[in-house]
Amino acid sequence: MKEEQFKKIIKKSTLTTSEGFVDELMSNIKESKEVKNKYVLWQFKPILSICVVLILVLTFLLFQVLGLEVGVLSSMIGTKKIPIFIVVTSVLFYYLNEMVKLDKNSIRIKKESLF
Amino acid sequence: MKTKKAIEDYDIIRKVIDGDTNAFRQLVYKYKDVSLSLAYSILKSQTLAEDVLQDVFIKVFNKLKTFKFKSSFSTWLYRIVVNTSYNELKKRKTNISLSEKTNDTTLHLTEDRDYMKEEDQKHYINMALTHMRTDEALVLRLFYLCEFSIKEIEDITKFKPSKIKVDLHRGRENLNFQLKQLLGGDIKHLL
Repeated sequence: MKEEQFKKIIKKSTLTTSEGFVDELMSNIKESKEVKNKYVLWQFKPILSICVVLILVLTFLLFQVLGLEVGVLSSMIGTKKIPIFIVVTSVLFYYLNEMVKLDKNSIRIKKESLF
Repeated sequence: MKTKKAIEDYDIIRKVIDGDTNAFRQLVYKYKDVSLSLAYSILKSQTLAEDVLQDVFIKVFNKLKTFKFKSSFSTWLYRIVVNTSYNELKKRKTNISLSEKTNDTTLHLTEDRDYMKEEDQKHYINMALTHMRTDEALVLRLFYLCEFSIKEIEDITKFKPSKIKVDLHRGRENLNFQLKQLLGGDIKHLL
């Protein structure tokens, strides 16, 4: 057989996907996207809640309990309350950001291991 | 220089990356049949090839953001198809039913012996390709169906150029032999 004949024969062998292949695929893609979004939200909510509670507790401690003119700690901290509050809040936000990054990576690894 | 086809693909990919999931449908329609044929060359089962292809397209959709607009989308896609199919073959090597490969080797030519339906032609060519070595069938399809160069086939399969040339040569001989075995004199209806 000649080159052109091989080409013609192989072209004729092209298979076609079954009916509904594309619709099934697109619905699988949409489903996987929804699952992914749900997963991110589900993981993010408890972390966010913990951080909010921690910040509230910190604010209360710094500005209410330690603000009283009693105890050794209050006199030690004195006027440094605001800088301490900013530093601790920034650290909390930094770790919150790291956790979200880790969460995204774990989703990616999970997805890749699926395929 | 990028071809018109490659530029069209890039536009669709950018749309998908920007969040237009439905644009991905166009890419699927464009490449699904050739991808299926390539997966079938390796897996020798249409059902299994379609299952693998579903996974491949989902994987491609999720990885589209990592696509570098340097190579053509088709080369990138077919590389994933080939890799995923070979991985699936490794997993299932002992489990693949030979029924789809070996069943129905008798001829079902139409009454008119001078004429062979397109579907029959496809059936016998695929049967011949199924009886061939996986690498040979794959290389034949990449070369004649996708019209890739040896270099492009090397990029997709990671086979050495010398192996690709040998597979092409043997593949042509084997295809000719298998078709003669299956069709005898009726091989002329294919040409």
